[in-house]
Amino acid sequence: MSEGIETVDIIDPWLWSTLSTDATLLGMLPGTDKTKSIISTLAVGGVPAPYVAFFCSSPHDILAVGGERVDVEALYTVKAVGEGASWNTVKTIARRIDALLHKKDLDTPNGHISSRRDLVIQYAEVDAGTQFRHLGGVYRIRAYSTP
Amino acid sequence: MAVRVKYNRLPKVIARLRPECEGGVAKTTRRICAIAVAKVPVDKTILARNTKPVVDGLHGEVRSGIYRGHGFYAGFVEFGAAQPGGRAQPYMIPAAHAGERVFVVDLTAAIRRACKA
Repeated sequence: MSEGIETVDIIDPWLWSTLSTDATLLGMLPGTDKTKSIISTLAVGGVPAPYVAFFCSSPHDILAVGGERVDVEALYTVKAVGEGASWNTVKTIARRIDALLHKKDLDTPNGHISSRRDLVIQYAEVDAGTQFRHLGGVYRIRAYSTP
Repeated sequence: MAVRVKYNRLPKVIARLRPECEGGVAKTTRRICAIAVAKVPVDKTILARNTKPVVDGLHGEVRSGIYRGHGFYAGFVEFGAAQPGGRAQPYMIPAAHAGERVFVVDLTAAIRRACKA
């Protein structure tokens, strides 16, 4: 049976390490410390585009008979945010994100992970005359801790 | 071996199946909408008022903030905006996620009702 708080124990560390150690993805991001361009919900703002944002949209426990927790199923939004009137910049980043996260089944130091994309996220916004484009996906990630 | 059919309720069951399932889809859609409205994180009046269920037969949708000037920013609330302070506060995805379990219950009940026709 799974123990702990799987979203912060297993999923968040896996997402962070997967995204922040991929040389191809980092090569698409600006600045010298490129890991600053990969942010979670709490670290919004002050980051030059393009950047990668991820956060947990909905976590659910999967329980067995007797209330034992089998695993956690969480929907995570992972997206690239870019500036400009074209999807080109965010498209290459979003594709790389998808290559890293979609159809993954693996053991991490803290537990087992399986990840699939559920839907595409695509929208644009205009802020003070500047266009921003958001492209990525909602990933259904299941995780359970291993003893 | 010969099989003799004494009672054939299949035509009745088949006739009831679609309307009952449509009822199940409508029920789940309304439930998801109610959850979404309860979870609206900001500007409850406008965004909650513009979060509505739309049901067409076996297809159900919950739409939120679809009209410009009436909560058109729903997508930014759900998935976040680029500017500082544009933090995502999901309410539709959690509602849909919760609805997945509800749908199984509602559809099972609908199929049972059809079988009892």
